[in-house]
Amino acid sequence: MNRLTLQEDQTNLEIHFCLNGSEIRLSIKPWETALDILRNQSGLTGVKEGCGIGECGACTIIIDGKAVNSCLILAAQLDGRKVETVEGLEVNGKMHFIQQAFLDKGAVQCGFCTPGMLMSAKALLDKVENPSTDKIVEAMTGNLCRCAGYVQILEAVKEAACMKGPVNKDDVTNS
Amino acid sequence: MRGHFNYLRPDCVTECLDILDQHGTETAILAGGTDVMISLRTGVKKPRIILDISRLPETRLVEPHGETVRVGSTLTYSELIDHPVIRQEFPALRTAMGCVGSLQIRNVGTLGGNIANSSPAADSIPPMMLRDAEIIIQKKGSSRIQKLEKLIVGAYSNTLESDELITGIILRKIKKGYRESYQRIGRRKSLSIARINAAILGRLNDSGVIEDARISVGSVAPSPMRMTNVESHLKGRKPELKTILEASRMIAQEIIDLVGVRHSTEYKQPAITGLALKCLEDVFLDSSVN
Repeated sequence: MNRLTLQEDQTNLEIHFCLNGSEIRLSIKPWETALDILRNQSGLTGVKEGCGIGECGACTIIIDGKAVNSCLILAAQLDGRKVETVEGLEVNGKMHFIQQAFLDKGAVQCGFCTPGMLMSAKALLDKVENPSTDKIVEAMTGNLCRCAGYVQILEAVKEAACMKGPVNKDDVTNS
Repeated sequence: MRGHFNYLRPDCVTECLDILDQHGTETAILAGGTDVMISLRTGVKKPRIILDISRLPETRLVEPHGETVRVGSTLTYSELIDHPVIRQEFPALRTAMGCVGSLQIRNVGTLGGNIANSSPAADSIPPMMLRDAEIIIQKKGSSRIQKLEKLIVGAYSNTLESDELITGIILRKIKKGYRESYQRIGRRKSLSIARINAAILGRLNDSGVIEDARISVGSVAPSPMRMTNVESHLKGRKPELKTILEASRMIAQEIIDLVGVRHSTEYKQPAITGLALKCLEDVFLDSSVN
């Protein structure tokens, strides 16, 4: 895909990337988004399409440690990257501590924004220990919740930040 | 809906320039994609080729050279905000970049993309204008350097040709004693487009008189602009509240004279005055206390 050989238009591209800890190869269309292929090819329907223009954060995934809107990323751009979706949080049937904190604090109502919220929270907590409230708010403002459960969501991320530590040191998704 | 296109991701600038040379008119350049992806979705852009420049190593460096710093065009806002050179040398630009979209947007959006998109409300442009930003533009076989103010010619409009690529931005450092400020008004803090934004930079001399003042205001005219009349009005004066308030009113009046009285003027006149006042206070009043 890197070379200029445009005798005829591309129909498919081969991409190779790490998805929730497993190396995968996919054949994609050049015009498909990361959101499209994660949902339609990989069956990861936890990646939600809300607005489709990068304003709601429902489609948030983590690429190379950074939270991004998968609706604004082409599938081809995933090539060579490390990609995490909400489906990668649970390990061996055990919920990730951020998921647990969301349940404990009642931070889920209709649930549509939740996968994106969890991924934004994870990107933050993977990088920052004991984030301040301001830092949490900064990391979460790209995610809208139309049930307006923001207070509980903020509480949940604070709780998760406290839970992170001895209990979760062996968490494989954090390695 | 998104049309069909080809995706190319060259390994180096030279290869990119070859592609633009041959296919520039049917190509859309993708760096962070935060604007291009929306244009593709709505059908505003229907390119045959998407040229992904986001991994070009030559465009991903911050290089200080004496009085200037060369910033690679495809560094993301997040990368620049975290960069020690940017933190130390360009505080107003750093604040402005922190106002862009959301963290998800800042994690992919690039400084070069903000320039190429040429939005009247671009956050990064007013603070870059104050640092005499020059844009490094390459095409096959040649390159040119253009001042940012000359590059942007109107709303979403610039002098870039279809075979050209922005590879870097040259920003001037400021000497000791300078202070700068960036302020913006949007409908909400995150994910809003600036309704008004301004960057102001200045320095007082030893006797507390304004020696240099540079003012750039965005979102209120087709492109962000320097307010040179007000800049010269301020030079040589003491930064008393009265003077600064007068300058803030002049900024608002000059903008209204330029764009005409509109339905929004009743709101914008005091809003621009207030925003300019906040910036001028940051730059001149706090420093006069020190």
